Amino acid sequence: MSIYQYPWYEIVNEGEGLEQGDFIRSWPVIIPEEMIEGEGGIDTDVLERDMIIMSQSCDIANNKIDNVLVCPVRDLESMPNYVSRGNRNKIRKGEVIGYHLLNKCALIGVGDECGLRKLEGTYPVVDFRNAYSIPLTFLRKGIESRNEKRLRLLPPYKEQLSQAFARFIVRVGLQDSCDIPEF
Amino acid sequence: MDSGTLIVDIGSSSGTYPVGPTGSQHILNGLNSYRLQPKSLDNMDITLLNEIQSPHEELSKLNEIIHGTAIKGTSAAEFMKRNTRIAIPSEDVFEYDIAIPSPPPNRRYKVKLNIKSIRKDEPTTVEPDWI
Repeated sequence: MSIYQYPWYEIVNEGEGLEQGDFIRSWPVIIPEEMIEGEGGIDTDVLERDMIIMSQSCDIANNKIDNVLVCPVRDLESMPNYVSRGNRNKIRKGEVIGYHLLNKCALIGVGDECGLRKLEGTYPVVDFRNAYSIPLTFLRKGIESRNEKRLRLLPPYKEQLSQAFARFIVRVGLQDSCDIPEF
Repeated sequence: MDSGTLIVDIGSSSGTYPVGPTGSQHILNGLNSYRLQPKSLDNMDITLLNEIQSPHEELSKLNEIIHGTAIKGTSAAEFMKRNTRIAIPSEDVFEYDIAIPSPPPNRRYKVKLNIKSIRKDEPTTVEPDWI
């Protein structure tokens, strides 16, 4: 079997353990509007975004992490700078360091069963720049209480996603005033 | 050079425009692409085949210039001379990794968080043999 014949996605049932590559629909991200100084109430903004789990499955399954790393997922159509064939091919080839393109998701149930209506029939793009972490216990409870099916990215594409994130996070950027003078 | 696709590399920051009869459409520093199809190179009747939006103001201006200019000339040299007058995006416009704002969230609302307690905490320690 050619590597390109591997399916990209599956829909897993409610109750399946969380894994790297699982899509989390509309997860609330709390944006505090003021510094938390002590007990009492503070105003917060809550944004809900579709996410994908970046942390390794084994760390999640064995409770080796307190917080699960997730990245927002958006659809390619929502990226106005990437409408050209050239720029889309750059993402496709992994040449745009901050974004990772996944294949078009045409599974039936992605919208209705998994609640990922924005990603239905589109090319999802994982945004490495705006990663969040979610306390593992909180994520588990939330997923349990939702009791929904989930979209899951499958091997080898989830590993490819993980490697792309590693490439993003390992890069070293220098300021303009780097030691080598301008030619 | 009586047929083929004329490639204008408007991504060159040196102000020169390599012109060749073959190849695919070329890039403007990875941000913009124009493919020019000459009907006749002698008369340089150029048709703009496709144009791709760019986020940068400078490139938008370039779009306007190209759209607003009847790209016709009498020779390749004249064509190149004419086009060297087009604003060339400087190198600092170039962004290999175009970061764009996050899209609107699925939902957005405000809540009041009730802080019950604040304590210093340490992350969970993992056994040394855990890979």
